[in-house]
Amino acid sequence: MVDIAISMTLFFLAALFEICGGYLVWLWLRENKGLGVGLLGGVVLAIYGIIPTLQPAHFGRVYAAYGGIFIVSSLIWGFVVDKKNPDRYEIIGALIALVGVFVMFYIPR
Amino acid sequence: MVSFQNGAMFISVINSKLNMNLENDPKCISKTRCILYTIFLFILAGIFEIGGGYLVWLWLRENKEITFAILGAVVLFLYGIVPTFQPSYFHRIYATYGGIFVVMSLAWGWAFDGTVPDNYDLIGASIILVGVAIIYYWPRKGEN
Repeated sequence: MVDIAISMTLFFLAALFEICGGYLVWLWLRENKGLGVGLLGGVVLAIYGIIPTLQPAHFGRVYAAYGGIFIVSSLIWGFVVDKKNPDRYEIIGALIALVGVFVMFYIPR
Repeated sequence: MVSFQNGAMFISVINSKLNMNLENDPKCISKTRCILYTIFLFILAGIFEIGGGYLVWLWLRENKEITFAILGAVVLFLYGIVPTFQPSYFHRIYATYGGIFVVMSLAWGWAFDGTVPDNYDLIGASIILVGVAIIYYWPRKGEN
């Protein structure tokens, strides 16, 4: 149970660093924010690369769970940072994708 | 000629609906080409992310020298650059990429670790691909 809590925390942390790093690189190349912002994004992405090595154990289909967290986190990031409400098709598509994640991750084998 | 007109119409719809300027993007001169190009970018991003993460992993978990980590950091930086070539919004590109990542991880495990996906993996992966395809490729009207 503790392992699962640690694992989920690390997933959210990884998604946060990955999306944040990608966003900084995006600001550099798409919003003309300067190379410094882009390089900072590179540093954040490098830190992101370290997080999965802290995962306590091998969890089999964890990447499916991470993908689901990543999809939802991206839409939340757009809502909070870019002030873009998820549109109908983003919500429908995300819900369908989460059904797929559920099938991969939770159906007992 | 017909496909060119469809492509031109697709671009003008995209430009007016999404408030984007895709005419200047030679990769998106036709609908098919645009879809192939964006799929290529998603796969390329996945290769860079998994590859870069793997190099960092080798440094910290397999006691390889620091050169691996530096190379991994560079590859992860490249991973961050790839989505900036996508003709859409940041949050939509990243949400879609989340689904691509799951499927590519499955394929990676199959190819390199010999982890054969079972039926539920394949069904789940297919459902995920349908979901993210709707997120990314569903035509939008009146978008700002």
